[in-house]
Amino acid sequence: MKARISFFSLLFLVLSTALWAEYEPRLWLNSKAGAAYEQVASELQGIFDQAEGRQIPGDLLVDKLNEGAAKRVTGAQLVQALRAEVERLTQAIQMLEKREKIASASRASLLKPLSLLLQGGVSVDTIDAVLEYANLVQKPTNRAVDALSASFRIIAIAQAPANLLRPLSECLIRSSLKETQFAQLQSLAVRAKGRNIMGEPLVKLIIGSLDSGSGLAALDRELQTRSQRP
Amino acid sequence: MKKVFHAAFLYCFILMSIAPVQVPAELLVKPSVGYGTPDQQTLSPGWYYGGQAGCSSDSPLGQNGLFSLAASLNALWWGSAGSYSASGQGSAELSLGQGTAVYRAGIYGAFTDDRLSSANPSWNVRLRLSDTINNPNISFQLSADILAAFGEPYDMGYSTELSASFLWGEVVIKPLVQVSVATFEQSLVSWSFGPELGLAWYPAFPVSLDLSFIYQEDLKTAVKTLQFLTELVLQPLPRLGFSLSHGAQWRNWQYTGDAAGEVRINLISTGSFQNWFFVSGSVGYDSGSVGVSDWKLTTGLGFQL
Repeated sequence: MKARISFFSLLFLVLSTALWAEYEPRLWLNSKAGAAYEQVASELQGIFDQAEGRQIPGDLLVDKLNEGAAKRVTGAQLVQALRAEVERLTQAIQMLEKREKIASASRASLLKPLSLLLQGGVSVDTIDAVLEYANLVQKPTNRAVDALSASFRIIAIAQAPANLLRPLSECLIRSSLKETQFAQLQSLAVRAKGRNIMGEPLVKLIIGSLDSGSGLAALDRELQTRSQRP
Repeated sequence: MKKVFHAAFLYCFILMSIAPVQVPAELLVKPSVGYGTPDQQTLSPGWYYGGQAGCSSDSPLGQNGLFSLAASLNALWWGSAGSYSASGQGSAELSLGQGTAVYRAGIYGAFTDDRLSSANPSWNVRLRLSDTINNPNISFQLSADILAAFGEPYDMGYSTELSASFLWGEVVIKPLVQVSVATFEQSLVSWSFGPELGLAWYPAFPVSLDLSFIYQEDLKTAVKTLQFLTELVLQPLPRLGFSLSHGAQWRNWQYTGDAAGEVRINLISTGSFQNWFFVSGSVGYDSGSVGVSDWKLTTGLGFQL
């Protein structure tokens, strides 16, 4: 009997905490950092309500709020930045909702990189096409998001045309590389650039090597061979 | 000197013209100006002007073949000495991929003309055949070279090389063994054997570190050479890059070293055109009484099309 009472008390406690848990960004307004933005509190509250309604994880907005506060942006700038972030995260949620069944990672962990890609100027159509490609070749959505993020950085380092983002991302998705190895291609791009191998030729070299079944060891050799070229 | 430049630019022009439109072709021009000393310790520091020009193209041959052409010229005019040093290279290479194997055959030419030294101009032509087997984490290569040289203490060179590359975590480990023979008028000049170990670190952030240990022993002249090379390349921002390198060499246990560094700032970057500004410095030194043997400080622009 005692054990049953304890169990129900615990259940009540958990349920009441969940029901009454405040959406994190609202708590931020009462923090020391949030106090500096009291003059735009009502506008921020409106954005929080909208974000909560769209099921955007609160911690993602708190990160954005803290970033703005650290940069000491004005209230108007913070409202604008947060509104844009909510729009991007909404687009990201919509893209993921179509493929929720195949995503192996939690949705929240994919939202941040997708928002960063949108902020970096990558179009919704490009992201959508790459996610669809992953679906088509039966690879998890988190692999597609990791491939997109890594390709975006590789293209920035190599200063290659932006339209190569999609073929490079699709190549990484179908390659034999593990997701953790995608980011290593950034340092390969740095090394290549130091040897004047950059832009479109570098991206095509990566795609060609990975598509032939090679990995980082072969790419390293290929860079060495090409850098010995006149 | 003018003839050399004209020949190089004509070669590049022809190369760019014959390359079909869909063939990826590149042109690199790096004019520069600097202050420093040439390799000769007797000359005082002075201004020098020069640069690098190069071009390359890759033409697909069928489904799995590639034909590559490349040429480059490096030249420096030393104002104080009223003289120049120049070097050039050119190559034509055919590669064929079949499954996990890549077969390559190439002809490579190079020349050096350093009017600041008493050495005669030299040039060579090399034929190279190689077979590479690539797998996701391992790559093997066997290659053979035949070289004809002019203006060198040898007129023919033969070498063979076996190398491997293994991926171990974030590091590519590259052991290599090379055996080479050099002859002059069919008499043996040198016969050397050299193991090499290279390590390339590829972390998940934009930094690249290279370490190489090279040992070479000439079995005829008993000259032993040990080299330890390091290179660090960083790209903290998409437009800003640094590179640092150091080479240490012990030749019969006499030490010489050289260090170099470069800062590179990208100015213009479009899909097909890159332009950057660079400042680089280098210093050569030895363990003997000479200390610093030469140093250079160079700045210039790079254009890549």
